[in-house]
Amino acid sequence: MVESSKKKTVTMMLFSAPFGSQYADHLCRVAERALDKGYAVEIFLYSDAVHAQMTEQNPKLFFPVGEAVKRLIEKGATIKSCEICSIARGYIKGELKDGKKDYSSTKVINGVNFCSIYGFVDMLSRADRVLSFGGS
Amino acid sequence: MRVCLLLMKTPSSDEDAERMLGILRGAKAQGTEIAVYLLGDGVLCARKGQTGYVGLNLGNVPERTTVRASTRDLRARGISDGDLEPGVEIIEDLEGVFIEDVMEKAERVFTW
Repeated sequence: MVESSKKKTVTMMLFSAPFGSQYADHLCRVAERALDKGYAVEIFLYSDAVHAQMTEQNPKLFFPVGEAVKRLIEKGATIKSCEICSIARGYIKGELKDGKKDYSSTKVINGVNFCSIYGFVDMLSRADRVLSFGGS
Repeated sequence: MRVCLLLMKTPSSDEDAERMLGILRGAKAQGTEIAVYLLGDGVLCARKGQTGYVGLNLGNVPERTTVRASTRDLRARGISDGDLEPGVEIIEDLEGVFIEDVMEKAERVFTW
């Protein structure tokens, strides 16, 4: 276990949808082991990967990505989702409301936050290591 | 230098496995230490007797290269220990071993 004052950060990007491939499963498993070993974990959901944030996922036979996302958040992972990708897929409106962007949604797992691709650049600047998961 | 390569694709679904092996060859030339991790469909690259590019090369990996495959993913695909290329290490907690290697030992990591 790594001491908290010396925590290294691994940043992971997911860009494939859950259930269409196993990339989301692999990311969740690697992320959970990283947290178990005391590393800080930051995850960015991009493109179709934003579907991993959906509430009430109910896969009968597949790896339960939604449950894994909730568990990662409970264990301290930071999960940010691409706001443009999420608006495009109907998860959030993202319109200005009282001077702030409206990210409220009943379709998104609690604890998932939103940012632009520039937010991902900030995540990269904090990362000791970067892993990407996804593809055709 | 130590480099970790994580492969999650089949040997023949596209050219990524082949690209990974290109890096292996380059690393051999430079004396780089390589750790290959096979996860999900990537474990299919470890099967012996493949006539394709990947099988032939994984069976003849350079010195200072380790090839590790996930027990869970091998079993999920009906692959037993006897089906694997010689030298492939079968790892129960592949994700844990991989992340520790990436964070504590390796200087570079590539994923496919």
